[in-house]
Amino acid sequence: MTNEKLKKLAKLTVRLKVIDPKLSYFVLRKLPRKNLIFYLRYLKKLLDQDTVRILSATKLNAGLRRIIERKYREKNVIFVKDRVGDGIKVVINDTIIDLTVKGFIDQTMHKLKSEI
Amino acid sequence: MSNNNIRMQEFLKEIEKRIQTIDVIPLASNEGSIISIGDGIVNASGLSQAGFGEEVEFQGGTRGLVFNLDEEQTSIILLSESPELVEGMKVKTTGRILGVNVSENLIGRVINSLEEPLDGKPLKSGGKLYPLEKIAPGVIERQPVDTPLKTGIKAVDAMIPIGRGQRELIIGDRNTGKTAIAIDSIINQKKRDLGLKQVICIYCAIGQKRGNIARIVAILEAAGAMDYSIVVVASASDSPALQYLAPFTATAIGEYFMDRGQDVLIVYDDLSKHAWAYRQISLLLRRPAGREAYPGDIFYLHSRLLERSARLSEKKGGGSITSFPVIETQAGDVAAYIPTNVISITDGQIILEADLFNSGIRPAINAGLSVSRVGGAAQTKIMKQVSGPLRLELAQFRSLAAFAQFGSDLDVETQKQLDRGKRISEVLKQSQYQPYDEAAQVVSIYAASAGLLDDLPLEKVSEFEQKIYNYIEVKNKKLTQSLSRGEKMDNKTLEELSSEIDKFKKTLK
Repeated sequence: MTNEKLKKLAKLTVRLKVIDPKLSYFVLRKLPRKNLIFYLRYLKKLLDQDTVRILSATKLNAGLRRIIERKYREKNVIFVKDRVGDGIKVVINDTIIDLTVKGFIDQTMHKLKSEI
Repeated sequence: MSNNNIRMQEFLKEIEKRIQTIDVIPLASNEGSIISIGDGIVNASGLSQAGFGEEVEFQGGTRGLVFNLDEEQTSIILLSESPELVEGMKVKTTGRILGVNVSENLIGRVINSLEEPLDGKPLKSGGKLYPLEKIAPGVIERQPVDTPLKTGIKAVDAMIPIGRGQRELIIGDRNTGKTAIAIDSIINQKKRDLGLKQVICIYCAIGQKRGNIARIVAILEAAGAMDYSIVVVASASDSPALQYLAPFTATAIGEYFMDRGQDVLIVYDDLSKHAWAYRQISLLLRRPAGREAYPGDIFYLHSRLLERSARLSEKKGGGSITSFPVIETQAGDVAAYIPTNVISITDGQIILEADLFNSGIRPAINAGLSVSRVGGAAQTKIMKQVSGPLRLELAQFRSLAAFAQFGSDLDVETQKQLDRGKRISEVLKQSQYQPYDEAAQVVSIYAASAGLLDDLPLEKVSEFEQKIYNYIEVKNKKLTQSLSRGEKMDNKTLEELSSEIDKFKKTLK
C-alpha cells in the first residue's frame, strides 16, 4: 500500500472517531510491518494536531481547567499529571510551551548570561 | 571579610537590577522523537518547526545538526559520538544556528570543528559568535586584490604571485609537496616581508592522519609560526560530520579577524577529502547521487565556502581572507570532477607534478599550467622587473628538454636556451621550511634570468644561489636595502647588482 493511501486510511480513522472493528482487523492483520508503522505514526500525528496536552505536577482546579479549555476551544484538551515542578507545560502537537517556574528561571539565567 | 560582604551585596543588587529589566518570554521549544539511528545519522519525527542547519539537542545533551527536512521526518547529523541514543528518545530544537565563539585566545591553539581544544590546554570561554554558514561579502563590500601575500617560495612569488584576498588552488598527486607549499607560506608570514601587516594563519586539516597533523603542528611550533596561527583539525578518524564542518569553522574564525581589519590566510588541506565526507553524508541521507556519486550540490558546497575569501573595502576595515584550497589528484588527472570544480572557483592554481618531484625539482611546480589570475596586480615592481620572462622561458625549456631527449644534434641557439633553462630550474629549487626574503629572491632570479649564470658550471649554481645573498648583504648593505624596498631597479642599481654577482662568481670558480 502506498503512503498516500495509508494517509487516507489514517484520516478516515480520525474522522470516524471510533475504532471500527473491520478497519482495525484490516490494519493489524493485512498491513505489512513497515506500512503499519507508517499508519500508526501518521495517525498519532493527526491526533496530536487536534490535541492539547497540559502537563502539571498536581491536579489543576476546575476553574483553571475551564479557562484553559476555553482558550483551546477547537482542540481536545487533555490534562496529564507529570513531574514538571511548579507551573504547567502546554504541549501542542510537537511544540512545548514551558510555563513552569524552572522554565522561567532557566530563561532568566540564559538572558543574563547572554547580556554579560 | 566585610569587604567581601559589600562586594557580594553590590553583585546581588546588580543582578536584581538586571533581572528587573529583563522581559522573560516563556520558552516555546519544538520536540520530536528518534525514529532510527545509524552511521551518525538520526531520523526523527516531529520537529515541525526545525530549520535547515539548526542545531538540535538530544536527551542527555548530545548535539546534532538538521540536514534534511522531509514531509514526514527530519534527518539530523550527529556532532559527537553518542552510543546512549536510542529509538524513541526525545530531541528538541534550540533555535541556534551552528557557530563558533571566536576571540584572540584561539591564536596558537589546536581545535576541532566544534571548537573543542585538542592540545590539552583549556580554552577560555567568551568571544564573538560567528555562524559557520554565512553569505559571502557582496561586490560593494570588496576591493581589488593589490597587496602581495609573500609565500617565501621563489617559484611562486616570481611566477605565480598571490595577493591578499585571493583563492589559489594547490593541486597535485599525493606526495608532490602540496602541504609543504602551504606550510612554507605560513612559516614565511613570520618575516613580515616588505613591512606588510601580520597575517593570521589558519591551517585546516581535513581527513588527514592524526600523526601527520601532529607533525605539521610540531613544524609550525618549531618555526615559531604558532604565535600567529590556529590549527583546525578533523582527522580521518573523526566523523564525516566533523570533517564536513571543519573548513566552515576555519572560515568563520577567519572572518572574525577579517572583520577586525586583519589579513588572514586559510589553508584547506584538503578539499578532496572534504568532498568525500560530504558525499558520504549525502549518500547516508539518501540524497540523489550524481557524477562519481557526489551529490548535485557539491559545486555549491565549495563555491560558497571559497567565495567567503575576500579583500574587504576600506569602509569595511580593509581586512582580507586569502585561501589555499588543496586538492589531491589521482594519477595527475586534473580533469576529474572535484579538481575541475575547484579550478573554476579559484583565482588560479599551482599545479604540482610527480615527475618533476621525482626528478629532484622541488617545489615541483608545472610552470606552464600554473597560473595566478589576480596576483599580478599584487606583485612588487622589482619582482615584476626581474621575473617578467621567467615563466615563459621555463615552460619553453621544459617542452624543449622533452624534445631534446630524442636528438643529439642541436643548433647553438637551442643549446643556449636549454642551458639557460637548466640554470633557471636550478635557481628555483628550494628546500622545505626555508622561505626567502623578497630581496634574496630578486638576486637569485635576476642572476638566472639575465643570463649571468650562463658561464657558471651547472653544479655550482646551487652553491651560488645559496650564498650570493649573504655575500651581498655583507659586502653591500646599501644594495640589499634598496632591493628590499620593492621599487623598480634603476640602471645604476642593476649595474651594481650585476657587478656584485660577477665578483661573487669569481670566488666560486
